[in-house]
Amino acid sequence: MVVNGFDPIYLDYMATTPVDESVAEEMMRCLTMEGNFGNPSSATHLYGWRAQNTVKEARELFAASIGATAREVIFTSGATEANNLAIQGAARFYAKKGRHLITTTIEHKAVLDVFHSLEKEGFSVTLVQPNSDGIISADAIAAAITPQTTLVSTMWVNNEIGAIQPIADIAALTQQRGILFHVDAAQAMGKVAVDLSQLPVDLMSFSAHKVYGPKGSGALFVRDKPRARLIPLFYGGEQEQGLRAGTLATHQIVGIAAAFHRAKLHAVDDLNHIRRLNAIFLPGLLALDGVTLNGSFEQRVPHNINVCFQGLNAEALLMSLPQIAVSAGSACNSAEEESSHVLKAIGLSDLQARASLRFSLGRYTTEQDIKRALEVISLEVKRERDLAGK
Amino acid sequence: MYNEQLLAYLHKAVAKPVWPEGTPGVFSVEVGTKESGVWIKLCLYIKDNTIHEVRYRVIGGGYLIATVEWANEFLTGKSLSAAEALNAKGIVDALALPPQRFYCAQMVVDAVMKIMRQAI
Repeated sequence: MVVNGFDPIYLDYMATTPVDESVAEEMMRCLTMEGNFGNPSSATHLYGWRAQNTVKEARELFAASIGATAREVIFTSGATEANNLAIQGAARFYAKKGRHLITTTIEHKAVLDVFHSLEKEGFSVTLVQPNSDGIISADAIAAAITPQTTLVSTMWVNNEIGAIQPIADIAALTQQRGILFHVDAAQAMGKVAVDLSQLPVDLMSFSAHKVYGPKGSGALFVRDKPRARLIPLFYGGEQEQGLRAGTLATHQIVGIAAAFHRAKLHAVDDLNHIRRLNAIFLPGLLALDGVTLNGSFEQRVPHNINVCFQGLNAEALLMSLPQIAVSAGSACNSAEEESSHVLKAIGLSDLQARASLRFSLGRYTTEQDIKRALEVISLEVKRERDLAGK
Repeated sequence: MYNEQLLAYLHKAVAKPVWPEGTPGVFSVEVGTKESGVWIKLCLYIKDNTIHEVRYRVIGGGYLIATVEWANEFLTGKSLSAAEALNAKGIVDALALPPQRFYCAQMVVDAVMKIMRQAI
C-alpha cells in the first residue's frame, strides 16, 4: 500500500489494531436486512430472538476467553466506559463504607481522569508511584491502604512502556484486606494470559480494538461471587443487568467476542511472532548512538519498545519519518506539548520524555517492516545528530 | 497532520560544517540553550553587505529545524538591508506555524537580528 508517496510501516499496534478479517465478516452478518440486524431486546418476533441468541452466544464465547461466566460480562462502548463504570460505580456504591481510593501515577487518562472527577465529589485518592522500571509493587499498594479504602485500581499492561504489573500479588492483597480491586486490562488481552477463574480480581475492563476487534466495543468483568456492586452511570433500560442501559450493539458484541476468542486461539503463535521481531528490532535500535530503553527489559510485553533518543527530539523524528507510524513519548495536540506522565513517573526528565518514541509490534508486522524501519530510523537519527552538532 | 511546506523544509535541512571561530566575514550567535532542548547556532558569511552563505546547528523539534532551514533559504544571497525585512509574522505565515510554535520564528528572528547588530 502506497500512501502520499510512501509505503508506510505500521508500528503503532498499542494505539489500535486493524480488525481481523474473519471478525469483520462476523460483524457484517449482524448489520444488513439479510443479516441478523434485529434488536436483541425485541422479545416478540423472530428477528429479536435471533439477535438475542447471537448476543447470548457471543457473551458465552467472550466469557470463556477470559475465564469468566456469562453473567459476569457487561458489554460497553469501550474500555473508557468500562473504567468509568467500574471506578465511579464502585466508589459511589461503597461510599458509605469509605471514601478513600487508590490508583497509580502511570494509569491511562481514562482512569486518572475518573479519579480526578471523584476527588471533586469529595473522595480522597492516593496515587502510588512505580519503581524506575514502571512496576507497581503490592507492597506500595499495601502502604497506601487506610481503613477508609474501598477500591484499588491498577492497569495490567502499561500502554506506554509495556510494563506488566504484578496483578496476582495485588489481587491477593486486596482480597485479604477486603478491598475491591479493579484492573484496566485494555492492553492485556493477547499479550498476557487472562484467566479470571484463577485471579481474585473484582472488576476488569477490556477493549476490542487493541486485539484486532472493532473500535467502540469493550466490556467490564464484574465478579459474581462475591458480587461486586456498582451504581450505573446512566439509565434508560434494563440491559446488562441494569448496569448499562441502551440497545445492545449486536455487531460490536459479536466483534469483541470473536476478536477475544481468536486472540486466545492464536496467543502462542502471536507471542512467538512478536518475540522474534522484538529480538531483531530492539537490539537494532539500541545499537544506534544514544538510544536507551525506557522501562524494564524483562517485565514488559515484547509488543512494546519505548526508547529514548538521548539529545534528540521525538517530534522531529516523527515528522521526518512519515513512512513510519509510531507514537511519541509526549502527548502533543494543537493546544499544548506535554511530556508523558508515565515516562516522568519512572524518572525521565522532560527532555528525555520529549526524546522518546513508542514502537509497538503486532500480528501483521513483518521482518521486512522491521528491517526497513531500522534502516530509515538509523539514517534519520544520524542526520538529526549532525544537525544538532553531536 | 503537518503541512507539506513545513515537511519540505524539514527534509531539506542539512548539517554543513560550521566555520571555525574567527573566520573572516563569519558572524555567529546562539539562541536558546542546549540544556532546554531548544537551541540554535546560526552562522552567516557576510561579504560586501551581502549574506553569501548560512550554516547552522539546531536542537529542537521538527518545527524549529524547518524554520531555521526556511530562514537559510530566505537569507542566502540577500543584502543586509533586505535581510532586515525578516520578521516572525512572515515566517509564521510562510510555514503556517501553529500558535504554540510561534517561538520557533521568534528564535530565528532574534538570532538574525543579533548578527545584524554585529555586522553593521
